[in-house]
Amino acid sequence: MDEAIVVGSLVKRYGSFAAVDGISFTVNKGEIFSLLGPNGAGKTTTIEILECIRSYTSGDARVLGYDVSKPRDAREIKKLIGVLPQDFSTFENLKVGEVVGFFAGLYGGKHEYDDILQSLDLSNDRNKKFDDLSGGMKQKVGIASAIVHEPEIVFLDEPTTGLDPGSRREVWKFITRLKERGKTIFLTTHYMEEAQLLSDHIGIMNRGKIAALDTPQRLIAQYGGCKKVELKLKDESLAAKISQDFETVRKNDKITVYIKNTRDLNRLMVETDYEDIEVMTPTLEDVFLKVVGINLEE
Amino acid sequence: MMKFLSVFSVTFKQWFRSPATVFFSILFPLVLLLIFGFVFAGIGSGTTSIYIQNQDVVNGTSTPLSSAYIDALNHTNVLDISLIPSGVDARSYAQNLSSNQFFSSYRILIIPPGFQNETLASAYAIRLNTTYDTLNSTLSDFAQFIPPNDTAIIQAGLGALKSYAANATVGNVTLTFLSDPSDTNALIARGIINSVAMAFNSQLVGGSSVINTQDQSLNARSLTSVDYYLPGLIAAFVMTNGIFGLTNITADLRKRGVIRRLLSTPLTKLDWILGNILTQVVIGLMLTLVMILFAFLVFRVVAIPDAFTLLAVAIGVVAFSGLGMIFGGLVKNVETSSALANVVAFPMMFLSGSFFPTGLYPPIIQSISYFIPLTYFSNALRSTLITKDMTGIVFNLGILSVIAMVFIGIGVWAIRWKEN
Ligand SMILES: Nc1ncnc2c1ncn2[C@@H]1O[C@H](COP(=O)(O)OP(=O)(O)OP(=O)(O)O)[C@@H](O)[C@H]1O
Ligand SMILES: [Mg+2]
Repeated sequence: MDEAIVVGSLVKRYGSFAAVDGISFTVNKGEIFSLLGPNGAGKTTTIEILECIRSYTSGDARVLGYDVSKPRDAREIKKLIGVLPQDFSTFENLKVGEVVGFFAGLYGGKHEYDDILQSLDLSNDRNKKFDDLSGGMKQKVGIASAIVHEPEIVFLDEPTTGLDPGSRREVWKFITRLKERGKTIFLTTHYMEEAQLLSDHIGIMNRGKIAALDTPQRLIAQYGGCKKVELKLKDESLAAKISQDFETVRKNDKITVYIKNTRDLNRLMVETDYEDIEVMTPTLEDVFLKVVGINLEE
Repeated sequence: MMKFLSVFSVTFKQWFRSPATVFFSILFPLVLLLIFGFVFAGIGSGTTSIYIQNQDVVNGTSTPLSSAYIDALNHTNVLDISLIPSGVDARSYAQNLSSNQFFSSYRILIIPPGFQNETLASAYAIRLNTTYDTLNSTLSDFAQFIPPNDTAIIQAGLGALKSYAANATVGNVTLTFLSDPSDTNALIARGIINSVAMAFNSQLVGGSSVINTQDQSLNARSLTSVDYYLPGLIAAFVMTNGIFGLTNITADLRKRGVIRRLLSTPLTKLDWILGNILTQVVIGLMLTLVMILFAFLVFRVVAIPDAFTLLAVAIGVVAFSGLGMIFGGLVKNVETSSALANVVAFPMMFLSGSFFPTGLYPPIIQSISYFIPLTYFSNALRSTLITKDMTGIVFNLGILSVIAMVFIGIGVWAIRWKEN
């Protein structure tokens, strides 16, 4: 069995509102899978269903071959997964070492966590009260607690939200190392850069549905084309004509044009009167913009 | 380590390291004990009604000694005495007069036939023996001061005394005191009956006990008001800690997402509840011991905890944590469930007779107290700490255990261990 997680036509309704609206995907063992989506897309709902802490309305979800809806299976799943919830918080009067030790103790056996604290740069803070930590440090304690028992699958719900760029990079490195050690990682994020950099597969989620699902490269190739050109036109009336021939997005006084191949690029540059031009390689952001229709980074 | 012990360890640390929580769970009750102690010092516990049946009747009139005893009881001004005619069955007589047909919320003292005769006979025998011993030792210890003629006379007298003493037997007079084991007022009545009996004993025979009450567990010291409500206060605060402790902690942790994190671990609902209850039991025991120590230091109340005290506190904590869990589980909103717990907890404190003897209340409220779980908890504590009466301990702990099992059963079922 190479699949760590298999989800089919999963639906979660609150009353008549579908927070998760019939999604299907597969996560392979040993890969990093990301759900990328705006606020309220249904990422947390999905991840919590997989963690066996939230019920669902219909469909099917399996983790390591176990059915999340069966209490007996859920018990097995909980032994094999590690979880960082969104906005991690814990007993605020405990010290960092005590928190991580407590979570280690819940899985039986002995679990060393000195290395983990070290690699998350928490060694010097192990005797600090959780309450006295900065937001970023708290988040790192949450990550340490999620992996202290060497789980097979690690669920990280927005692991880097609220971290400064330096810490964020540190966490990325940490996640990459987890993958190298054979862990399967399921993460949610609204950072394009994070998803693109880390993920083997990305599901773009919006309004409870998965709008696109593939490797980052293929998503970019499919939705972003080969290049994107940002033009500032001399004559605004040209915009309409360009939009007829190419996929475009208007942004203030500029127009972004997505180009499928180099021949088109040449044609555009020769035929258009522009004041300013910038030719770029498309990123996941462009994919997201097209698939979801909103720009998250703004 | 078993998982519930990990839960105990973190929840106890979490509690202990939070000064505000420690204050409200332990220091606040102490402050209240202090206030109660000073406000009610000297006021006593009001009057307590009691039926007395004097069976020591000769030719239709009560013997002088038994009348004197009843008079003495009356003069304490604490007992409100009604007499039962000597020929009737005291129990059914009192039952018929009692405002409450269902519970025996009355107390009966029975003075046995021959109370005067036997008391006097015993006193006579004791006095004879004492006199004989005194004279006899005087004679042998101080022979040189006594003229030989007189020695012979005294010896003849001693011989006569000895033969009188041989015919007089030292007996016991037993007063019978009937009360319901759950009746808090009975303690006060019995304390007074015993003290007056002690006074009679020392008047008549210089200290030897002739008049006994059937239930001898109470020592010479009579009850003070602090004696009365120390166990009540402990019970009330162990109860509030129990009801609010587990529920509020869980609600707060749930709000902050701490529980959600635990849901995805192998920790079970039962581990969580067990660990938390263990924490509450330890807090309850700490509270109990601190209160007892404090009461001794400030009010000289001697309440000695024993194994039953610890057991009572543990069972009480389980019962009231269960009740708290029921509130927390059935009412999802934290504020509402707290309010509900308040609405239930505070009336319980007063209706249960934890603070004041229920005898001071109207009869209807007195019978309500029998349906209040706290009644059995504070009675159990009062029995283990103050009166040391085994019947009361077994009776109240038994009922409390049943309550605990029911509450905790429903509570475990009511607590949610999953997100919606
Ligand atoms: N208990 C609930 N009752 C009703 N609606 C809910 C509940 N939990 C979540 N929702 C709704 O479900 C939708 C999806 O929420 P979810 O938390 O899964 O989004 P998300 O993708 O994780 O968003 P974010 O990026 O802000 O974390 C939201 O519209 C939310 O309001
Ligand atoms: Mg979320």
